[in-house]
Amino acid sequence: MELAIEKMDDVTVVILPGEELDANNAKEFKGDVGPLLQPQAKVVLDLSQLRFVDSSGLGSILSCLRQLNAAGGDLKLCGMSKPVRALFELVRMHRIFDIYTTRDEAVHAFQPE
Amino acid sequence: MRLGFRPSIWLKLAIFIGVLALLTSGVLIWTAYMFARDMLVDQIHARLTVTTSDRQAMLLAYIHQQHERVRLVASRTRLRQLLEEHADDKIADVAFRAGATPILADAQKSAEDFLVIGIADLTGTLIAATEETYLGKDVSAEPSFVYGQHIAYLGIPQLTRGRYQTFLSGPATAPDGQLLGVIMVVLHLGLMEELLADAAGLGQTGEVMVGTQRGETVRYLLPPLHDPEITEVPLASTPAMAHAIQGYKGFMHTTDYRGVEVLAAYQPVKYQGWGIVAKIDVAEAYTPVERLRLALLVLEAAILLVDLVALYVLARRFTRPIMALARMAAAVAAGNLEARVTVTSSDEIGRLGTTFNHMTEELAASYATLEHKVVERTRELVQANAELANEIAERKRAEEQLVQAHEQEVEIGFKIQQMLLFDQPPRDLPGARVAALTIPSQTIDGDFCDFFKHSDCCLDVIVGDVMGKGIPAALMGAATKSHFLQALCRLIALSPSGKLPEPKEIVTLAHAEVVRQLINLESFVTVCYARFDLERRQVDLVDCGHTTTVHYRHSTKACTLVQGDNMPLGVSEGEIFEQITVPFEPGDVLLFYSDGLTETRDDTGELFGVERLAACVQTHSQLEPEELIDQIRLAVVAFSNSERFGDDLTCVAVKLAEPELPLTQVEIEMASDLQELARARAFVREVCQNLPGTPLDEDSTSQLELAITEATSNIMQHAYGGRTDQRIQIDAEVFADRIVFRLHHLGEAFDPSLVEAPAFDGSREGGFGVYIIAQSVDEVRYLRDEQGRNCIYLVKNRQTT
Repeated sequence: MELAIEKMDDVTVVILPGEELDANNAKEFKGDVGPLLQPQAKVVLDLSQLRFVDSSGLGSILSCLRQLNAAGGDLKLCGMSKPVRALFELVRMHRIFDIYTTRDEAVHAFQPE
Repeated sequence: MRLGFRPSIWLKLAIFIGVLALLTSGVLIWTAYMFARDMLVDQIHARLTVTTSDRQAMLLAYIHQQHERVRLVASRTRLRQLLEEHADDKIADVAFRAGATPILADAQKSAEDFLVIGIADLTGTLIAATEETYLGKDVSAEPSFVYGQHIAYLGIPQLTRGRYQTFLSGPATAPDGQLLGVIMVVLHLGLMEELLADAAGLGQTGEVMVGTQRGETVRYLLPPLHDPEITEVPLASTPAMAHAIQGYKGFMHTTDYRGVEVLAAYQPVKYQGWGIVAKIDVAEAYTPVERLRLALLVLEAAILLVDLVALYVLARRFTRPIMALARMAAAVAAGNLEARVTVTSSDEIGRLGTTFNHMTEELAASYATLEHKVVERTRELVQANAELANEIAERKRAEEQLVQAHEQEVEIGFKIQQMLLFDQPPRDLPGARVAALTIPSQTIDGDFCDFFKHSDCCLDVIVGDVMGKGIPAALMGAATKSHFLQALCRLIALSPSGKLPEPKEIVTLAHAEVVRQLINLESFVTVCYARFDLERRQVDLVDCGHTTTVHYRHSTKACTLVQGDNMPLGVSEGEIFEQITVPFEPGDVLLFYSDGLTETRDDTGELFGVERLAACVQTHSQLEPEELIDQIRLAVVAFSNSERFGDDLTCVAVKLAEPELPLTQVEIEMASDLQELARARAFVREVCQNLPGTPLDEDSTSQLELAITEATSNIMQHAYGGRTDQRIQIDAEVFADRIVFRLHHLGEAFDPSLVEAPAFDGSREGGFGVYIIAQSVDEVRYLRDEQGRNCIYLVKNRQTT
């Protein structure tokens, strides 16, 4: 999976390619995103391309959060489409993740005021 | 109680000792008294007798002395001369008197008690006297003169001028013995009086009396001491004097002249019939004995008093240790085994105390032993109890195990029935809803049922009952079932055009296969084989001696009973079975059952019966078959008042409906590869976007996409375990009000009850799938399809316009 990565100051913005994150490609995503989850890393996942996420996809994103939190880093999400947002809400994950509408908002959230 | 006890024993002793002392001293006193009195009486007797004799002798001596004195006077010579001269008249009276008087006076000089001395001539005229008054006095009538002519004589005393005196007389004779005259002396009896009055030794009341008889009276010569006025008393009133006068001598207890009791000694004086009595008052005589008696009585009273005091002291000495013992016994009775009495003596009571103490020690010892034994016994009992409890618990466990085993047996029987004998009715039949119920009895029964779904429009229902119970019946049922299936398969195979064989052909063939075994086993099977043709709306029915089928007709709202006339299977070889055809309409219900249902009995033994069953079906005809059957079950339970039945209860209900055909029907088949997930979603989106009528909204479409993706990936990853070479078929049927997706696969069946609840706190990355599916559609079922494949059945309702 070709992840598009942008650095904004010390924040890593990862843009998920493709419209779907399901059981078929969730493992691949986990493998690809793994090296980015450095200690103290500040990561923003840009989900704006995704039109569909299933429970496996959600599980892989949850895995990212847990890895980063364990290593002193943090993860923020942005650009969720309606069905993706619906899934997150269905399993109450919107309470676990910091979710922002735009990428800038997410990045900005890392900046200390 | 304690207060009453002491006087009681004391009183008893006092009464006993008192009576004893009284009796003893009474006898002693009485004896002493009698003895003393006898002695006294003897003594008084002797004294009185001596006194009597003594006085008598003295009296007699006195009399003789007086006689001598008078004779002495008469014998004076001068006097005799004078008398001779006078008698011869030689001298005159005056001369005589002058000569004699000095002589008489001389005689008087020497005798003071001679008051007067006179001489009477033979005519009894006093011719000379010392006192002139006596001269010429005629004394011829005097006894003294009469007796005095012959002997000296002392007359009866007379009280004259306050003095007792009498005539003492004697003859004055010549020397030749010729009587010349009589000497008459007036004698003062003072000496005699003194003699008799001396009652020395006779006490205060003693006296000596002399008396003589005069006619019937006694005349006392001297006045009585106590009453000098009395001189004469009747003879009878003084027996002692009477005896004396009569010449007896003796002693007696009698009464005297006063009527007073006296002791008297009496005897004759031996002179002129005189008697003498010496007497003493009884009262005085007995005074010493009375005094003795009084002294004895006082003594006795004193002894009694001393007795009682001694008794009281003694009784106290006895009762005190007894009281102490009683107190101790009370203390011991109250449980104080330490109580002891102080033993101060070595007598019986002391020994009793010692024994009592010993007994109490023994008691304490044995009590301690007993206590020990009780403790021991209690411990044993507790142990025994525990053992008993264990035993009971074990027995209970064994019973529970037995019950469990029994339940397990029933369960096994139920499982056998469910697995071998019962098939689940098809649920996906468009034109009919079928429900089956079986309640196994305590024993394995031979009820069975089977369903062959030939197409959506054709269903065979077989309900049978093997005669008998237990494993043989169950196996026979299973065998019969398989023979039906076998017969069906063979007949289908033999059919050139693929035409479905008739039920009667199937039954006939199956019967031909099993009849020999059934006859050998002496068993038979009743069967009802029904084929529902939903297109033609008719049921072909082969009834082989089975219970009548209840047919509820929607059009008439009433039940009819359908019954064929074939024999049960296994009765005769070569049997040809006939079938009957019954038409039906939508809304009709056909109910097949085993005789266990209608032959259920109530408490009075009445059968449930087919009429009651038909009525029940009629009442609940509007319900779905599952609910209808449940109502029948409830009715039977209520009727028999029991949840358990002697026979298996088997019941199959078929409710016919207008078959609902989907508006569109599409399907897709794919490999069990995760790469196919996108295709599955595309299929869903395509179905949803091409719905007849109102299209599905975007949110519902997304939800269906999600649900199908989750279900498909579950099948791929779990049912097929990740193998990618297996097949998954997804078909979709669109109805006016819903969309139905069915995911068929041949992988492992999925049991949603084993799935863990999802973790909403982000602690687990997986486990959301089943939850997501359930939340995304309106109905989820995990079932087995008519081809035996596992199937996930999803329904999403759509808004109706």
